[in-house]
Parts: sequence; structure tokens; C-alpha cells
Amino acid sequence: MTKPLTIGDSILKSRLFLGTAGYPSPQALGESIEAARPGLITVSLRRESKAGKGQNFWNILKSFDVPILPNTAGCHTPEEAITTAEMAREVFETSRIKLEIIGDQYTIQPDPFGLVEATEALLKKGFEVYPYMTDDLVLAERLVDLGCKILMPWGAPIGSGRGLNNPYALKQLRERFPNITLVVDAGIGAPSHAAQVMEMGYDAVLLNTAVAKAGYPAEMARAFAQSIEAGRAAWLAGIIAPQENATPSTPLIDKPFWHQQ
Amino acid sequence: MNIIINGQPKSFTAPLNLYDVLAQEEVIGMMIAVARNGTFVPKDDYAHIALEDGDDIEIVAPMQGG
Repeated sequence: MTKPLTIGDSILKSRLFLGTAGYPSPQALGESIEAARPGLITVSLRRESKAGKGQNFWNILKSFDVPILPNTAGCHTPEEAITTAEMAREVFETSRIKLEIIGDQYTIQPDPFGLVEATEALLKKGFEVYPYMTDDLVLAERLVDLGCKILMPWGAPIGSGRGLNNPYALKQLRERFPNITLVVDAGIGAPSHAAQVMEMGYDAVLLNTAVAKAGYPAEMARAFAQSIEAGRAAWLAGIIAPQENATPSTPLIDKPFWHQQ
Repeated sequence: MNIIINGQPKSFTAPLNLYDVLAQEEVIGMMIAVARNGTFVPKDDYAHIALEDGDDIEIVAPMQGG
């Protein structure tokens, strides 16, 4: 019943997008990717030397045959993010970019103004921009007007594991942008949070810390994959509307002793 | 000639192009990308970029990310 998610020319195998940072070991990262079977895996760029640290990491990742979503994590200005995106396109040979521009160091809240500026520039350069954003409706409208096909509002601050701080705003985005691919990125802590996202009709969930820092990362990766699948199926099946009053589920017609007083 | 490589000042003998610096840093052949003074440089241009004193070079490679 659940169709695969298609973004651009890519048909993704899963609606779980998995980050690759913070695992206790390369082995734990590999086992988590195996267990999650994610649709995309996120990566970054950092300074390289002749020691070749980045080359070793890449050798682990490329064996999994999962499409790559590079990010601009740590960038604080549009200029930094644009240059990082261009470097990522050359290294990873993909025009996908998770555009992340930090506006507040304490919450790692994305900077909406820098995001709009960099998105406009990167779209003109032919990038497929995945903007990491707050759940602000007007910001979303601006990004869609620029040509974004994908939006990635936060659930809560990165790494917080709080779940969805503002389900109302996320539902508004889903209702207002039925034809845009919507992904909740950041703040997810438990599989139930991911299921909640998918039950709202979101297209995918991007998470990292909840798996990487779990007691057993690979088991948690599997749990997230199952919850996202379940949430998606529930959305497609049609979730009943909540009501204030009870409604008996067992029919009362022909119940013995009916109306005997 | 002083060039900043990944935030560290280093001395090189002029004249120098970007490819020469990357070769001396032993990163040629690696999966890398490069920026000069904050601007991306495509790999096909390395040998055509003459460096100037004080240039700031960033060399990056894949790393874990969320």
C-alpha cells in the first residue's frame, strides 16, 4: 500500500533518512545502516590532510549503495554554505544538498534569512535544495516560491530528542503544501515521535542522534524504520477523527436484557 | 610565499599553483574538494590557479554528518 518516495529522479527505498555522525564505532554505524535500510544517508565535509581520515570514512559508506545527502552543517553565512555546497557536489557527485545555516548557537536554530538567500543562489546553480528550516509558515512559502520542492522543518532543536515541539505548525505546513515533499528533520528522540510525524502525512523523517546515541544503535535503527513504515501506512489508511464522547464499538442491537427495567 | 592551508600558515616557494600545493600536501588522488579565499575551485582548474601570498586554501573530504 505504501508507495516509495520519489524525489527528483530518485526512487528512495525508505522514508527514513539517517545521519552518520556520533556512532560509538564505524561498526555500529554500518550495522545501523544495515538495520535501517534508509532512503538517504547524510554526510558532511571537514578539513582533510594527508592522513586521509575522510577517505577511510567514505570507504565504509560507499559499500552500502544508499544515496547520499550532503549537508552544510556548521555554516553560519550564506556564502559559507554556498561554497560548501559546491564542494559537496564535486566530492559526492550529487546536486542534492541539505542546506543548513545556523542562526543561533544555543539552539542551533536555522537562520531563516540566510536560508532564503542561499536557497535562491543554489537553485540558480542547479542544486536540489533540502532546506533545514524552522516550522515558520511564511518562511516555507518563501522557499516554495523560490522553487524548493522539498522542505525540512525541525521537530525540535538538533540532538535534543524532544520530539515535536509544535505539532500544530507542522500540521499547518502539511495542509498548506500538499504537493511539496515534507521531511521532519531534527529533534526526534523515540520511534513514537517518528510515527507521529508520518501519521500527519509527512513524506519522510531525518534523524541521527536518536539512533547513534541509543544503547543499541542498530536495534534502534530497526525500530525507527518500523515506526516510520507504520506511521505512513496509518496515514494512508485514514486515521479516525478524535471525538469528545464515547462510542461503543460493540453493537447494542439484540444485546440480552436490552431495555429490561 | 605564505599560504594558509586549512587554517594553518605554511611557507612555499613561489611561483606556485594550486595543484602544486595540493601535491605537496599529499592529497592529490584523494576524494577532496577545494576552496580558495572562500570560493570553490573545480578540480579541473587546480593547475591553472596561480596562488598569491596570503591565499587561504581549504581542503575538505567526506566526514560524518547528520
